[in-house]
Amino acid sequence: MLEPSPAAEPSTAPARPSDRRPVSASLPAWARAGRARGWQAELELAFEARAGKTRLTRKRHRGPLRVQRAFYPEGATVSHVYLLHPPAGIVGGDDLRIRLTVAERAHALLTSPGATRFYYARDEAACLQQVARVCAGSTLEWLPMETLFMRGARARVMTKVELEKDAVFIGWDIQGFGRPALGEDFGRGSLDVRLDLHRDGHPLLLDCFRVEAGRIPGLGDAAASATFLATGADARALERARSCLSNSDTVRVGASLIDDVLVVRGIAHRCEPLLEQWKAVWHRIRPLTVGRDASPPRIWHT
Amino acid sequence: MTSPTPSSFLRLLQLSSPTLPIGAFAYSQGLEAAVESQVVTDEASLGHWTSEQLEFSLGRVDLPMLWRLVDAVARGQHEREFELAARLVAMRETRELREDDLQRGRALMELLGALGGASTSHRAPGEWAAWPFARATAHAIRAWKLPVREALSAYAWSSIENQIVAGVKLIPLGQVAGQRLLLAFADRIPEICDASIALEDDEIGGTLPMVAVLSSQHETQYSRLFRS
Repeated sequence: MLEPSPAAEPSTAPARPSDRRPVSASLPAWARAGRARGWQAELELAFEARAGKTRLTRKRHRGPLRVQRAFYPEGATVSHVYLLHPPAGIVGGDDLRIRLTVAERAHALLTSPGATRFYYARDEAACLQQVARVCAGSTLEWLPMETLFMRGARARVMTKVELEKDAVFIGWDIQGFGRPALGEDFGRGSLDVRLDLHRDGHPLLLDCFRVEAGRIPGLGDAAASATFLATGADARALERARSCLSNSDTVRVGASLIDDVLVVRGIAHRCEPLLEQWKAVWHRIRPLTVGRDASPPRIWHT
Repeated sequence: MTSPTPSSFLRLLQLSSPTLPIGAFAYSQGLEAAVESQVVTDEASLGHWTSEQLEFSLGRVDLPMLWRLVDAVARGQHEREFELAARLVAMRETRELREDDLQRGRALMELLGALGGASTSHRAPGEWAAWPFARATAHAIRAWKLPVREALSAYAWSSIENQIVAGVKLIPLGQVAGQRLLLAFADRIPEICDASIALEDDEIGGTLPMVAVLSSQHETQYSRLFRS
């Protein structure tokens, strides 16, 4: 028996496919009491290096968070994986958790085929928790498409990257608010979006973007915000990153180097120009910090 | 907590005075780049810029962290103090914003040390790097036996005053316009302080993307008066 839709959705949210049964639907009523009413989804991935090759050795999922098989467009050293978020978007009460381990000397590149969308939530917030542990000698490239927070969305998003010793991280986070192309703003939504980067338990960068009752701070008239991070960077990497950036009437971008972390930030009227510039920075930076020429995931070409 | 002494109020004025030799006047915290790129052009836009700084940066980062640091210092919880200081530094979005905070913190600790008031004996080797200004302020509050809530207000006040003074110089604005803004901010600071005290640990944090971008751009700004 299917449960009713977990939250009232405005007409702008696509209908949920009927096969998206919440995991809680299979639990007895007493176990469901007090639980979030939305979909509970988990995805656990582990990458391990074996004889110089990175293998996706663990792939466990529950609910509508998936990956397909790993791809190897640049040889066996680097595993490319596409994260598939719930195709119909995320609404209030949904609780999604991604746990990722990159074991010693492994090298994983993750991206996604399309934007992650958070829709209107009446009361309960949606949660997305993404935690990556990157072990000594390993590399994680975290290059997802943008996250779009639609009008009236309520969401808590935590992306936490824990590096061990000389682990390398290069990644980005791109967020859009409302749908400016349709003249639709973020309305009265609220957000708590965090991006935490730690090394050996010590915080390197703690970003926290909060929106309460639709008041988006520090954005001016922009409707998108983005951050690009790369560890193991130096003045040369900073110079290269800066050479990729271009400012215009609607796009503001800038790069800084905090110890060995390259931090590039931007705000714009929409996500696309930021994504394009971040791809360009990744292309130029990767040889320096990751030690490999850029080899864009195939899905970016489609 | 320390109990206030009759001279507490005057000590508070001394700690929050622009003449305190910690070089605060040298930092605009991104405002110089905001004026350069015409995000801040007049009294109204300076008010908006500073208001966001007060509400989201001071109110959600500095003040709740200062509140906790004062508590950790008073209880002698050194591990907690180090951890709070490291988190606070990690919340600074750019190299210049981090250097700004750490240089003022270091200057204040040196001053307190020279005045013989602060106990810095538990300073671990290499811990110099993790002395954000709020941590040093927490030690000043303890050493000078300052009332904590008032000290939070004073911390916010001197930061806002510094922004307004920088704005008046950079835009430029008349002195009366600057004082008008300060008069209005003084009405808001106590409630912002109260709200910051009420925050839970996991509610702390407030990145302002525009400030972060402009501060990054400031690093390569051709002509600059300020160090941030």
